[in-house]
Amino acid sequence: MLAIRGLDIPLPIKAERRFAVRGLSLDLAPGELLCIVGESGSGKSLTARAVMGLLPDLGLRASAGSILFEGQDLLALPPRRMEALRGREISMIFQEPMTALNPLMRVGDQIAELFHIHGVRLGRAERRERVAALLADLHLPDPERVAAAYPFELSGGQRQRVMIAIAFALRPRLLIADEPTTALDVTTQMQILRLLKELQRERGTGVLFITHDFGVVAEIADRVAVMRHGELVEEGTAAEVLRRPRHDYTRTLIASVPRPVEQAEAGEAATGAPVLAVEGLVKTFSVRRGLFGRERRVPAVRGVSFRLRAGETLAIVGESGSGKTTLSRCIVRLLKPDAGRVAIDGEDIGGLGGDALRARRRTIQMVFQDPHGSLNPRQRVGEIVMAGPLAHGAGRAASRATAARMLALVGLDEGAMERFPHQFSGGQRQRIGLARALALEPRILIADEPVSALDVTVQAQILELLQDVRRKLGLAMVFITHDLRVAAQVADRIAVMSQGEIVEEATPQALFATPRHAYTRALVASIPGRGAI
Amino acid sequence: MRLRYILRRLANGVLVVLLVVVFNFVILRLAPGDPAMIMAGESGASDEQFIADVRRAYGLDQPMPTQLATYLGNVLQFDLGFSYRQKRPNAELIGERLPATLLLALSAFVLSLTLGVLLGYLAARYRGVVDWLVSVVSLAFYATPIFWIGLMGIIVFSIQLEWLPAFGMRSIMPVRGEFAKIADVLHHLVLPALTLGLFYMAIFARLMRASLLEVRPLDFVATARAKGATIGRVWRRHMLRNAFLPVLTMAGVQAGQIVGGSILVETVFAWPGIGRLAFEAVLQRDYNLLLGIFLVTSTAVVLINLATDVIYVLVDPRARPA
Repeated sequence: MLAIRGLDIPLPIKAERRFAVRGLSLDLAPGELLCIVGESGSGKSLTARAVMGLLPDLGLRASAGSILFEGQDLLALPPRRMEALRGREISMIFQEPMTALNPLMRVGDQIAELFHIHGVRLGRAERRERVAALLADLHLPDPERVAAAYPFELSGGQRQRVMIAIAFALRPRLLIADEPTTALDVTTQMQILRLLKELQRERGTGVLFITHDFGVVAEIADRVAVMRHGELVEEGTAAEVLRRPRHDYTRTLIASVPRPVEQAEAGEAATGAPVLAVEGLVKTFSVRRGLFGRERRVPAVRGVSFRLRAGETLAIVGESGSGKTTLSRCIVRLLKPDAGRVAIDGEDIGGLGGDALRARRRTIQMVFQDPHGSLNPRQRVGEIVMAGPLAHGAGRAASRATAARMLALVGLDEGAMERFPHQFSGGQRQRIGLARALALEPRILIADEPVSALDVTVQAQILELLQDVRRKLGLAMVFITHDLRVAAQVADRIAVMSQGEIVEEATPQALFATPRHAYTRALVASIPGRGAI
Repeated sequence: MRLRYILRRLANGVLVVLLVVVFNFVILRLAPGDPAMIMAGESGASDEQFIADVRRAYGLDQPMPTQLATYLGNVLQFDLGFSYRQKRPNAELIGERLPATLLLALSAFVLSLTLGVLLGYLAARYRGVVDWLVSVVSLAFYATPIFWIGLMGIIVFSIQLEWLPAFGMRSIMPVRGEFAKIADVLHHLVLPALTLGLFYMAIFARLMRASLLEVRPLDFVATARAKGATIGRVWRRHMLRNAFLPVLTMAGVQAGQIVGGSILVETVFAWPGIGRLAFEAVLQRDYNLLLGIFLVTSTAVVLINLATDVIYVLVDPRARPA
């Protein structure tokens, strides 16, 4: 049905490589689900966009090859004909459900627009019925209400269902899904994956599914194509590629998927007094609109307690809105908790202020999620790393020496000190962020989703580095993540957080083998490709 | 619907207006000279006794807080006082002039917003020569002082071409018939409204263009294209409304400026509005009249801001009060 032959998409002259996509050939049969797997910059998304005829507006266009859809070359089709195909024969779902819908239009109108565009003339009542039926197909409760809602009134999962409703509305023969579940929570991801698979089977739609996650591949793919630097590396049935990958790169990708360590490393069990003790921590946000507005109270953290010993890693796992980030910010006192105790070495830091708090702060440092936003773009890396020691009264020479040592520890050479953050890749920037935290010689490290924004292979390297550093320096670590697989790989104990509370705490092995809480069971069951890889 | 919201905003607005009154009252009294001094100067021969008498007669000898309290009390009863210079109630004076200013400011506002949005849209959509032209035109109007545009307009369109009247709001010769009277006012309105509006049109055009270019790479635009919508439909149905939001916010802010800017334009075109009344009141230290004018203009600004916010809420469901 779809045949891509020798597709070339050149990059602008200045770019670091000449082709975004190079000599790509792929086939998709009707009713088949093909996963294109690759890391950022592999050209997988551009391939999808090229099929759709919607390459980004940077002067990108295919320079060679053809994209045959049921015999006609999409690259040679005039815009009007392509517009008639889009949405009707070929449809697309995007990665970001939060931004993929027009914020000013009711959801129902956005679905109904499709009928209007493709000349399906319907009466008012009929249109309402069709829209409601589509939403009901996607197991959205109360379709009438959803249709009347604006996007901002729906959750990420609900919005992605609306996108899928739009994509399937006119029963297209080809669906292109560009990382449609990457931005979603795991439990939602699993629901959406099942839903897509179900619709695809039911209607015999061919699906081109772009992803970076081999777990997702194992869950849904019929066939897999692995891309790297714009070229096809390996292609085959899902079972074949997962079980016997032929190419080294594929092997690396599969090996990088985080998975629980089989056996706890012997003799590593931490003992002694806790370095960090959190007791009954509570944080409620109050939101007020205007001077005379009513106040609304939103509990974010509701009585959380845990203990952490030197050399131990505790992972806090939760979905968006579970309060895990608020918790971490309360611990380092970026936010002031409403109640509860945070004690470092038995001393409550809640009552401290001014210099005493500042002095205490260096023992507890944080690594942030976004490697792009968390480093000052106008400061050299050396300055960024030195800032901490300088602020705590070390001399310039001593601070510089510390910075160089820490950068070496995280695997960056000394030349890095003179460069600016934008000259580094995401993984390197995360290393800088880590060096910055370590420069204060903390005893506790709080890492808030430190690998979520990174490619899997880079993610594996950073996780490795974190373990290494932790062992060398005897750090205690609180590792916050939404990904149970990552948590299981790094942590000695996992605390599962839901709606502001820790619902279960256990070792990774125990958690996976016998999850006690219903929510934990749902989380474990939602890990994509569990058992297959 | 959101009556509570509007009422709440009105309560806020009343507070703002009262603060403006208090602030202006204090500022005016800090400036040297008072009506008694001016009157003494004008009468040619007067002594300390005369000044003291005048001050007592107008209550200017009272301590300032007392004067302020009296004034606020009157304002709250919708009494703007009496102009001792013009020998008429202030409310009457302002009432006579207000419609002219409102007409001028409103037409300039509507004109600048419509033209600005249109030009910004054309520039962003067609780029190239259109974009260049729009940029040049808006930069020119943005950089040129308003009074100079007004004077050039008079030279070209009134003196050279004799198309438009150069000053006033009505012809000196009487005009017969209601329709002809309206046409006459509109004829007089063209130059002042354009002069005042073109500057703001430039601001809106540039903002609209930038805003559209910002919206263009957003995901929902790609979604609309993926649905098979034509480029024209995507721009009109999806991008335009979203890109208009920042322009609307700006328009609310600028509306106040336009009311202020009209004072200048009224002077250039001898437009019989509130601006010239204010100018005269300043020269004559006519405190009460001036305060009345401030009260009325600040009320207008508050109302315009409220109106833009209500429009904003109508356009953007996310801004709706919970």
